[in-house]
Amino acid sequence: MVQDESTTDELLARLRDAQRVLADAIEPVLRERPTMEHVLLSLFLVAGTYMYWGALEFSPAAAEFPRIMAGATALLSFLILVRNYLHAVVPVLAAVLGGYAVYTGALAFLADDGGLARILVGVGLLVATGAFRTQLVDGAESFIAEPMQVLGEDDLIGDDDDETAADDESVDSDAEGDSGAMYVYEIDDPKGPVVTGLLCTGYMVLTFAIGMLYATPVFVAAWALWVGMDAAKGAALTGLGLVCSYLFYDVIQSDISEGWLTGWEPTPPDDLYAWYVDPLLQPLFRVIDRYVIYPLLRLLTDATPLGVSLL
Amino acid sequence: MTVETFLGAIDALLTFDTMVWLLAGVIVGIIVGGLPGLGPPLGMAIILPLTIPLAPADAIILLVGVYSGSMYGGSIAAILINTPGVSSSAATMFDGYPMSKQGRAATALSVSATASAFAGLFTITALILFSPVLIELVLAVGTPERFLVALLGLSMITVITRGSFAKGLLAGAAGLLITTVGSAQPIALERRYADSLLLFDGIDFVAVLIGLFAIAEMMKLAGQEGGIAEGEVTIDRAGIKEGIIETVKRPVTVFKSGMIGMVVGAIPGAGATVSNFVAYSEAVRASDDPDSFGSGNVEGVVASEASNNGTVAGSLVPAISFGIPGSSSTAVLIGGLLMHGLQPGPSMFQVGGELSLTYTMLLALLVGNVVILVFGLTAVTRLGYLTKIDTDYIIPMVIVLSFLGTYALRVNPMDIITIIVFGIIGFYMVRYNYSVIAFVLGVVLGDIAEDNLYTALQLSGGTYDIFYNPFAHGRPLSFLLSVAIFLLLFGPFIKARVERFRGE
Amino acid sequence: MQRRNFIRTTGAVGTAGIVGLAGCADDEPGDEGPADDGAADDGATDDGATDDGNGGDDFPTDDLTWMVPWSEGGGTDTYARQVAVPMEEPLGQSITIDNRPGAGSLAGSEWLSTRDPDGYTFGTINSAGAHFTWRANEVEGWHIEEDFDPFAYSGVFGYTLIVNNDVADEYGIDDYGSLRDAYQDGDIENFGYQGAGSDSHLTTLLLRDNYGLEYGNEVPYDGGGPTMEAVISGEVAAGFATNTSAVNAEESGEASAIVNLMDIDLTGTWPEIDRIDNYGDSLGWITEFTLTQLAPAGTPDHIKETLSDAVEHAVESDSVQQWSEDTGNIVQYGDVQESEDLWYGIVEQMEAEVDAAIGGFDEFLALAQE
Repeated sequence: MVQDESTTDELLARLRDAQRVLADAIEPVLRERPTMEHVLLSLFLVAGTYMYWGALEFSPAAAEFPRIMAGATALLSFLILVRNYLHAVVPVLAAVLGGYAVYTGALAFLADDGGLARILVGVGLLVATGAFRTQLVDGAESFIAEPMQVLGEDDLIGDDDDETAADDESVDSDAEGDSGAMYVYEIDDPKGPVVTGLLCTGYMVLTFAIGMLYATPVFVAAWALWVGMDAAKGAALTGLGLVCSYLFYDVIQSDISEGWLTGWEPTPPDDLYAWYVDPLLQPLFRVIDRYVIYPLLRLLTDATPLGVSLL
Repeated sequence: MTVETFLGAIDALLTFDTMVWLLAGVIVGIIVGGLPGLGPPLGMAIILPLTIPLAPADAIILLVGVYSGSMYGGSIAAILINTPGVSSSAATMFDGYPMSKQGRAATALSVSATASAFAGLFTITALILFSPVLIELVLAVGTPERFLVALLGLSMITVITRGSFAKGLLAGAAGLLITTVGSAQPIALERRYADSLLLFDGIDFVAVLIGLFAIAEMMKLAGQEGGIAEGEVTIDRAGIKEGIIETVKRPVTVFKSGMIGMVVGAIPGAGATVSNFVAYSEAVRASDDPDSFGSGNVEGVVASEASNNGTVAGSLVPAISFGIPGSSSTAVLIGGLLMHGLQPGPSMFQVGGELSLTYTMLLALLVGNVVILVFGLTAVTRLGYLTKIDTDYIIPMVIVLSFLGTYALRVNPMDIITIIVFGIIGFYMVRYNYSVIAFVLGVVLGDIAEDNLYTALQLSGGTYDIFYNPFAHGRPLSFLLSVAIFLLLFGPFIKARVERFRGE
Repeated sequence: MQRRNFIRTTGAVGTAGIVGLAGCADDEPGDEGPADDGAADDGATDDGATDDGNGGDDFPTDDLTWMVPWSEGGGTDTYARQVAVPMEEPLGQSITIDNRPGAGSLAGSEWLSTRDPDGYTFGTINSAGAHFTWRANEVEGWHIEEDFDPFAYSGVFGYTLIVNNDVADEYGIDDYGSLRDAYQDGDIENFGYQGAGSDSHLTTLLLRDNYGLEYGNEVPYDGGGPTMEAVISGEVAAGFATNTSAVNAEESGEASAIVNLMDIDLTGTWPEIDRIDNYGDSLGWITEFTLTQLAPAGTPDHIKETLSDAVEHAVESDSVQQWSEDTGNIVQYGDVQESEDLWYGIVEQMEAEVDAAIGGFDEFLALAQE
């Protein structure tokens, strides 16, 4: 892809420097090179935590499912983030969770005889922390890290997190990015996805501002510009974009001509035509009608008895 | 089944008018379904008002043709540009798109056509012959069973996840978490995490799918040179023939997946969405080489495509016999029936009632599958050329169509935000090997699982035995499903231990 | 033979083309005719393409949009599509149905309240149901009564109770009294309603408190469809269904309608159906929903009249009457005054009734969140 390198490169060079400084700072904490994966994990962690707290306001029945899922999300993302510290973190976590489970289970038991399961789970975790620490950590590591190890010697009682899966995976030195479910790919141009993501975000913002009808050709034009397409092809593609959005406007949903947030409505093409182009063309149409079309029609009605009243 | 009525139905079908409507319906369906983000429900909804002036039989045949055609059409976009038209196309993406990347788009498309057609043919025949049995099945499936089916789907995460188990679970949990946004109906009058009316109905999962797959994929393609296909793309008879042969070589998979599609698809409310994932996962599980799935294994495409058309047949059962929709497409179909004065119910299967119309409709579907086969093998495979075009041209068009199509889903601006957010998340998830499939399963199944769990517990008075004790509430089907889930989750584990035990 | 066909086809196509082109020029002044010519697309617009709707009897001069706050294929949508067709005739314009589902009809209603009151956009909202949903969700920013001008109503539907046939046969349930007794005796236990905090949930509580329905277990489902499904399959012994879905349920052969919870007479469909007001006060204020046609508040009177007359014409047309007979959907026309009398004051009435019954809406909402 040919593109205008100069300004983007400068900006990107500066960003890359900043990124490097930040990464250097974070690296000792994580014990591995920070990447977007950590951003992703942090996102999950934050979202999970936020939704867990949010769920506290709901009624008990409505809160149960969100709390379990948010808790699982937060817990798992946390574990993966600290995967280089598992030998320290896991026992602590198991102890804390175990204690908490026993505590709440006991409360529930005293209140209404419930919570027995929770007490058992909590006790199990505490025992595992105390007596089976190495196995606990090993289990956690094989659970979290990749590739998958063959099933270990001991079972672990406790919550599902520490249950190791049973499918084997051949040990592969290049573990990262190699999986059966997803395909591996090389990225030739790291700017590509980022800029595409930014353009899409811009498209979305523009849609909220002036409506999808016109945001679409603007987006396509911006894309064509960035990618360095020939003017002709770029224009054709932009035209195609406009045609698509216009068809959608006409056939499916006409409110894409409005920006949802602002209420602005740049004039849609059909109104543009009706208000500006059509009045100009009217005289021409009238002439054609009077001197060409109607005589033809009269000729036809005379020649073939269609029995249709045309005027 | 009365032979007379059946023959009469064949008569009615083979008139010029009816065939024209059928042909038109199927072809329109394929086109509409093929456009990313549009898909069957929208296509059928657009056609619906146009059917008002038609005679009931023609109208229903047109609608059903669109339904069938668009279920097949959704696979085209899935295979070529990794964009699902409906959630059911997602399973085809998993192996279909990698095949396109390998330059084998023609093969993938022809597999899609062939598997769809074959599965469609025998499931509809089964439907014609065995509808009473299926109706009984529909009746037997209640709330606990629906929850267990959703749980079965979720357990597939363990089958499908490759790599770190924690990552797969995280993806699944996050997907499930997404579904908690919005109204907590029927559980409570609560809007969870949704102060705005726009989020009242939650995050639309088709929008999530479009973001996760289409937008994320376009972002990824933007970082690569050339066309979608990384290698040489050959669209020639060899590719097409290969597709046919590959499908024919796998009759067991076609049959099994088709049946799974039909049976699971018949489960009202949940089935039509889940069936393809279940069939795909089953193919993975039963295969000798499960790791190859997700990188262009033909069997994956065969399974999901066969199931896709089986679902069309299956979902008709609750629709025609009870007026109960299994998906938004069938909801529109039922609307169409009602609009033309036809009542879903036993009368649709009675000689004195509308049995002849029902037979005509099913036979029309049968013929429709032949149309799909022919059209698919000839015209559609040519579409493989799309994978050759430089992605610079494809990317913006796909993004535009995704935006437009997403908005068409339910005219909600939140959906546009959804596709961007999940597009970016999806891109990085793939990059760092987080199972997107697990996420998808979570998103698709979350509501079904939670709602039915709650209602089932209400039914049982709070105890869980309704799920596994066939005697407690008289639900043998629940018991069977629970056993299946247990085996799925712990089977390999138990097997390994038993083998080790034996080996010592 | 072929040649004649060819000429005929070409001639037809050619004529059609020419006639089409003939419409391109505006007609001479003084003629009637659409303002937009045949060459331009006539997309349905939210606001009138020409000037505002004040003055002049020219309304409507452009296409109209009919908003339905439910998705395609649903009950209200089917009603609208049936009525829209004959309604186009007296108006001389085409009507486009715009489905805006979401938030239990609140999303579409909110959208309608923000449209220009020029008569080109109107919608159908179901009275009582929408009022209840609006109140129960404590919606802010717009008011279900104050922000709309009703101009007609076109049909009614509402709740009945359906019972599973096997259960009914076994315990001899054929009316409300025997249903109530069966629950009281413990013969049956489960009762299905359409979602926590819904109008059917409130009705469920009222049936228990004021009409003696002592179900052991009230089970919520996600809407009418799943509830009906549950009764058909026998998962619950009885539950709610609208009168139109009850017809479907009966058609399945697995369930029957045994109680009419509305005030409207259903003996046309079920000659012997029991009525809830034989056992106590009327429940119509919460169980009966009228399909009301509304325009945004501030729509001029003469426009409302025009639209209302068109609705009347449509409702009384043969096609709609026939459809009504065939499908059991009740069509009934009410004019501007009648629709206003119906639409306004419902929220207040509901508040009063809920106060008397349970002690207030907040009480109910608290109950719904348990």
